[in-house]
Amino acid sequence: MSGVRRVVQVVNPQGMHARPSALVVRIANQFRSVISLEREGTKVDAKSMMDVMMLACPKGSQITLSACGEDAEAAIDALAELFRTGFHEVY
Amino acid sequence: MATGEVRVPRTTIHENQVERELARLDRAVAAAVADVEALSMDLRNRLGDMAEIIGTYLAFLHDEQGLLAPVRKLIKEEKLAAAYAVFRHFSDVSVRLKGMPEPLPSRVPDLLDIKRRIIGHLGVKSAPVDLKSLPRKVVIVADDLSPSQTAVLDRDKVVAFVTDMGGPASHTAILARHLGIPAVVGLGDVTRKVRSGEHVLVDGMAGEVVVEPGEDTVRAFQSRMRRQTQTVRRVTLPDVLASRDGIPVSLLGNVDRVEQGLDIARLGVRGIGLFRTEFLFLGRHDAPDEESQVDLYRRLLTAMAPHPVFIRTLDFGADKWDHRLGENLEPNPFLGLRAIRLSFVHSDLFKSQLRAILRASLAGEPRILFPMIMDAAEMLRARSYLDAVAVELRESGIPFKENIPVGAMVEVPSAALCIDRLLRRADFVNLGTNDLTQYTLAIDRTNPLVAKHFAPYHPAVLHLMRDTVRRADSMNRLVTACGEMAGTAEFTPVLLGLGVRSLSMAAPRVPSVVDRIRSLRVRDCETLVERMLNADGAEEAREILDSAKILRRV
Repeated sequence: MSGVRRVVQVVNPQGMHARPSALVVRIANQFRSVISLEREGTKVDAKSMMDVMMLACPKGSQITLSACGEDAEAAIDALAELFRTGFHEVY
Repeated sequence: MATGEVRVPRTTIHENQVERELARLDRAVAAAVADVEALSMDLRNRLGDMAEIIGTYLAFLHDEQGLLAPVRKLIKEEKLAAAYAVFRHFSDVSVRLKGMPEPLPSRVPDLLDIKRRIIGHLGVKSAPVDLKSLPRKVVIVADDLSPSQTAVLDRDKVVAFVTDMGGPASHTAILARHLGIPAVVGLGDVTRKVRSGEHVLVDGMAGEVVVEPGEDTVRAFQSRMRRQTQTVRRVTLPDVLASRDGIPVSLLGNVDRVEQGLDIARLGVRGIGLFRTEFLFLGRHDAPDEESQVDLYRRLLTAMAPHPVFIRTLDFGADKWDHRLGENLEPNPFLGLRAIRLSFVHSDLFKSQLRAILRASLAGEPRILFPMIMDAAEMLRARSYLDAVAVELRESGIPFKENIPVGAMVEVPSAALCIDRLLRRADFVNLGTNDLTQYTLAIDRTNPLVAKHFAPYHPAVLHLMRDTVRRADSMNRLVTACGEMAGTAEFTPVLLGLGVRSLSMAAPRVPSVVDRIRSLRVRDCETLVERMLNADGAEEAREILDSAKILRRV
């Protein structure tokens, strides 16, 4: 079981509001690995809308993505790309 | 007084229904997803933005960890019905979100929408409540209980109820007193302060609710409960009830079911001063047929014979009959189409009731009482329906009692103000103290914002009552007081002082009123009322009443 971690940043002006959260959740659910988001000591399930939404990360937050499972690499790549583009709101 | 566990009305299930409920939940969620996806397809073609909101909804509907798994857990572990489990968890989550910083509280409407969709697919239109069949003894805590919900409460299981809304003179409170269910209403925020499963003590007389009481409190409460039961048993009605200075007073009963009539008769009460017939119609989807009415009236008349039974015709309005007679809710139901006015408009219902009363009349001593009569003209009109029904029965050869006394409720101020004309068309009158007070002071007793100003001892109301009694006496017409005031021992001196000599009340009230009557001298009561009539308002009248030293300790 491989574990993959990467640190990403929230770059879009409104932060992680409902729309980005829903996007993260949708992408995460396409993978079989267990995927988490962690910010300032709080670790949540990336596949749960409530969990991700309640993290409520504003612009500039640092988030650690971690995934564990056979498609962990692909999952992290996909999510990191999402964050990089500001959830398609910026780039 | 009662003690029990707190329950917000809900539906629970049995162990062997768990799998079925889980399956129902899955299907309902799938149906909600299908709804939203269908919406999404349509909206994506029109509005890019809206489509994103739909994405949020779908994310919620697929959220195992945050939403679905906890609901399943409630079903499996707490044996909650699916609809209630959804309701519970979504409500909990919403509360949490509301306490967090924006933009999270803005998601609450989304969650509530999803909750409604899922619950809708579970076949429930609103919060699941089945007050008619509860699994064990409970105390109900609710934001409000409508009179029709109160009327169908399973009295074996509901040991007490407690609500946010309402006032001491609201119909729900009156029904509670009537049914002998301890209740405290108008607390404002009790639903936020207690949670399902907590233990409470409810003292309806003191108006107190104690949540999670300690052992000492519970013991003290239980001994008070025992003492209260003993007091009620001690007093029964003497053959001739009279005041301390020998003035005879009649006591009658307020009932809405035959069983209550029997209870009342056992206490030695000689007659029913108010038989409310609305109960025949509450909790039903249609009017009760004439045959069941005939049977009911016959049983009651037989049970009370040879004593009189004052049968009041339908006294509904929008507040008592939730959804019948169409969807057009009135902006001012108390001033609207209710009681006798409703009967004139729905004359088939009215005539059916009158026919049933006449057909049962030979079984005892009926009196017919029309509610909310405005003036003599209206009384004449009501009587004309009765006359028409009598003619029909005569022509069909169906026997009934002739010359049944017919009277009016005096509760609309206009009736009291033109009592002279009204008394020429009525054989007797009943003082509806609750509504008379409401209409005269323009106070809605069910509105917690103003309910505390409701005062049947207000000088204006006293004036109207005194004039009614005086005119009735001069024309030899019986006046019976039958509102809450009549059954409240602290107001007995006021009614006696006004000249009322006939009081009708619910059975549990009889002993304390009997005690009170026997301890009072009518002439002292008359002096008291004179002073109260000259008060500036309710407060001053109350002070005069409270400070009067006219009671002998019984």
